[in-house]
This record gives sequence, structure tokens and C-alpha cells, in this order.
Amino acid sequence: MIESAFLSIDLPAYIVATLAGLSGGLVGTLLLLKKQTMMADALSHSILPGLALAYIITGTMGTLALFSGALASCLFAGALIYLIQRITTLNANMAMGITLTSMFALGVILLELFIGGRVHLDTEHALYGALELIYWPDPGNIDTMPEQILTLSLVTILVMLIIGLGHQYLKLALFDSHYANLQGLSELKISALILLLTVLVAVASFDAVGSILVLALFACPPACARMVTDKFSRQIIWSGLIGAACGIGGYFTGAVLPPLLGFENSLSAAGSIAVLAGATQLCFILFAPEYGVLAQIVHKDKKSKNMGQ
Amino acid sequence: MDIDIGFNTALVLLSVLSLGTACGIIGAYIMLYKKSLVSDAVSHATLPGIGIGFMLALWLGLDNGRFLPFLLIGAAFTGYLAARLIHWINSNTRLNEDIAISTTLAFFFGLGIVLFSLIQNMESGNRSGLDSFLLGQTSGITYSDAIIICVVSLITAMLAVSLHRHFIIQSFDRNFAKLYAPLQGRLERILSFLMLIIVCTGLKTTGAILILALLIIPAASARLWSDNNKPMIALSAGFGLLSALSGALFSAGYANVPTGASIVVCSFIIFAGSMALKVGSKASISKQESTLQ
Repeated sequence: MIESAFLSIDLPAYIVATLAGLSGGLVGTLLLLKKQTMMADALSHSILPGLALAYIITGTMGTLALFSGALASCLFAGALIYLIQRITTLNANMAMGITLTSMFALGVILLELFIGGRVHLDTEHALYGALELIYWPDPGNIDTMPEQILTLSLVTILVMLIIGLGHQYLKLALFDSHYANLQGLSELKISALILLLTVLVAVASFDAVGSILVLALFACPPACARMVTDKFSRQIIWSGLIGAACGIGGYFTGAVLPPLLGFENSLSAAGSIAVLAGATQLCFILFAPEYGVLAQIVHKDKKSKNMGQ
Repeated sequence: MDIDIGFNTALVLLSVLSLGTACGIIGAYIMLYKKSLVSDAVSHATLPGIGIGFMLALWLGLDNGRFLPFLLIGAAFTGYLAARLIHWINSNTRLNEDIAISTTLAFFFGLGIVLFSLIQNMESGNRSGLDSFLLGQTSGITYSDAIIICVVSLITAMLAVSLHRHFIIQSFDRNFAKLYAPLQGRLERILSFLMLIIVCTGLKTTGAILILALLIIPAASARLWSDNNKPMIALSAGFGLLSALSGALFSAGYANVPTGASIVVCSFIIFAGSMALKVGSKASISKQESTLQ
């Protein structure tokens, strides 16, 4: 009995959290190197109106309808951010801030006006995530597999393929965009590709961690990796692994650990993932062997001593 | 649409109008300092503070946990911590500001969500009052709330305006400010302090997530109209006021719509209009130039 509860409730949640962390960490590295991590925040806020519109238009909660709605509104948001920067003198930060707040507010209004608690699609879901609600009635049977696992695996495989096959080009474009331009890799195309990957991962992991906490998976693992390595390939691998570990560990501390310790209720799994990711990053910032804050202090002391002698 | 300007609506209007104006003014300075996304992180980071304040108040047996001063002090405290953390990561590690902002935002917001779920599980706790801090709720606003919001917003706005010269000098020419401005070094901290106060003041009406819009969008719209700092700040205040007014009226007409969200959408409409006018004027200028040639 306990085993089957683990298989149909905990296992799919673990899988989803791991995949979300892995793909978030991988794409997050690209965003970090482009200094555009906040773009992930802006895009993930923009999922909400897309979901609402998809439901209003089709009247169903089918994965395909919701997925394409979310995708469309994220791409719209990306285009809007680009457009604002092109037309006005406002910088990227302002463009993102304007877009994310407006899109999110639009989503809230659409939900309240047209849907108003009739279906399981509400702002709470968007904010808190619904990792706990994923249920696999007949574990092992592919037919009843939760759709979140399928979409996330597809997206993760796609991300791994693109990064694996194209990492030479990505590296070139991220570190020397002028030279890449000469080689025919236009900056706009690379930006669009990264944007598309970000949107895909954000939409696919929306169910797992909610639209706002997705940022934790995009931002923290690459930042950890950045503290320990200078090599592009290592950065990517570290980041993906740390992301996956944060997913597993976060679900464990949020949903599994409290009952084990004798508490009656569990904590928000999505929130725990974000907190764990942030805490991990803080540890990396402090204790990283070469670039960590403590290592830098020790290094400085040694240097000043040497100078004294 | 049927709007009755009763006592309650008047209170709501009083508070959101003063809040909108103050946010417009402070947001303009924040834009000049290019710190707009820091305010995003700070406003999200107020969440765990609200949770801590709630639990403290519950523990002390005040108001069933919904004791506003504790909630706001908690919010200000964690918001301040987040601002300091961003600054620290940015200046002490190899990570850039962008990643500092996003990781801090995610960490604090996640912490807030965890605390909220903890409160939900506590025996006597009931989160329902807290959820309104996320998206804002104006229906429960009392006379004293409205007065407090109004007075605090006006004072913060006046403080910001009284430091106008210093802000302008420092944001345009840091090196000159070092020679000239007596407040140099503390100015940035003063500005983020003002921002923190206004964010906490707006928590109850517009909510933690959408207060950012009031700080960014009116300032951005004003920036499209003027290259001169004084008219821009005045316009920004005006746009803030206008979007608060229209948003509050819209939400009063459709009772379901959260006030914060409708204010944001109204301010975006103003921004989109300004942008369209800008495109139009640019097109007509280039047309004139081409005919001259």
C-alpha cells in the first residue's frame, strides 16, 4: 500500500521536479551568459494570460490547448519586449518590467472575469505550482502517465539535443558575437533560439513549480556553476546536475520530509525547491574553492602578507 | 456598469490615488538610477516578511495574526534584506547584477510561499487574509488604513522631490556628484529606502506582485513624452494618478477584478498609447525630412 502510494504520487512528482530542474539549469546557463536571466522571469509571468485565453477560446483544459496558448502568449511577450526596446529609448530592464507586470495583470483579470474558480486554473496555481497534484493512477502504464511527464521529457530531450549538438555554435555566439556574425550566426537568431528554449522550458515546468518560482530553476543552478568553473562545457553540465538535484531535494524537503519527521502536513513543494536552490547558491557563493567569498578573503590575506615581506 | 461612489469607494480612491502619484514620482527616480528590476525583487521579497510577521502576531495573540503593523514591519525587513543581498552579491562575487536580482527574487519568494503553506497548515492560522497581499484587495480597507496610506505616500513623495537635485546629479554624473553632493554614497540607499516604504504601503491595495507596475510603467510612459527631467517626473506622477483612478473605477464596476491588476492594465494602456503616438510622430518627422530632401 505504501509502495503504491510512493509510485503513483511521489515518483511522478520526483520525475517532473528532476526534469524541470535539469532543463531549467541547462537553458539557464545560456541566459546567464547572455546576462538575460530576468528574461525568464518576464516570460514566465506571461504564461498566465495565454492559459486563460486558451481555456476561454477552446473551453477545454486539454494539455495541447493550454500548452499552445501559453507558448503563444510567451512569444508575444518576447516580441513586445523586443519592440519596446526598438521603438523607445527604454532599456531592457524597463521593457521587461512593463511587459511582465502587464501580462500578469491581464492574466489575473481574465481569470477573475471569465473563469472565476469554475475550473482548476487559478492564480494560486500559477503562484504556488501544483507538484503535489500530479497523480499517476497506474504506475508503469504509459497510457495513464501524467501529461506533465511527457511534455517535460520531450522538452528536456529537445534542450539536450540542441545544446549537445550546437554547443560549438552557441559558445561562439555567446562569447564573441561579432565573430559569430561574420560566420553567419546572426545575434538575433541566437537570441530567438534561446528565447524559444526558455519559453518551452518555462511552459513545460509551469505545472511543477508555478510561473514565478520557475525563475529559481533558471537562475540558481547556473549561478552555482559559475562560481566553480570557467569552462563552458563544465558550466553547462554542473548547472544541469545542480538543477536536477535541487528538483529532487526540494520535493523531498517540502513534501516528503515533514511527514517523516512526524508533522501532519507537508510544505509547498515548489517553494521548497526555490528555497533549496537559493540556499545551495548561497553555499556556492561563500564556499566555492577558487571564486568563493571566503576563498577570496583568504587569497587577499595571503597576498597582503606576501607584500609585507 | 454601475458605480456608486459610496464611503468605501471614496476610501479606496483616496488611497490608490495617493499611492499611484507617489509611485509615479519615486518610480521616475528609480528609472533614472536604472534600478527598476531591483524593485521587482524587493517587492517579491516582502512576502516572507509578511509570513514572519503573521506568525509573530499569532504567537503573541494579536488580531488572530492579521496585525497590520507587524505584517508591514516584517515585509519591510525582508525587502531590505533582499536589497542588501543583491548589492552584496553584485559587488562581492563574480556574478552580475542580473543574476543577483533573479536568484534573490526566487529565493525570497520561494521562502514566502513555504511560510504561507506552513501558516495554512497551522491549527489556528488561516491564510485567507494573507493571499490578498499577493494580488491586493481594496474591499476590506478601513478609514484608518486609507489615511495611513495617504499620509505615508505623500510624505515619501515629498521626500523624494526634496532630494530631486541630488538624485538628478548623481544619476547623470557620478563623478561630479562625488565632488559636489554632500549626500553622495547615502543617496542610493535613501532611494531604495523610499522605494521600500512605498512598496510596503501598497502591499494591501495593489499586492506585492503588481506594485512593481506602478513604479515602472508611469515612469516609462513619461519618459516617452519628455527628455527633460522635471516635466518627466511631473508627467510620471500624473500618469500614476490617472492609471490609479481609472483602474480603481474599473474594479469598482466589476467587483471581481482585483484592483491592483486593473490599475496595471490601465497604466499599460497609457503606455501603449504613448508608444503609438511616439511611433506616429517619428514617422511624420521622417516624412517631413524626406520631403525636405
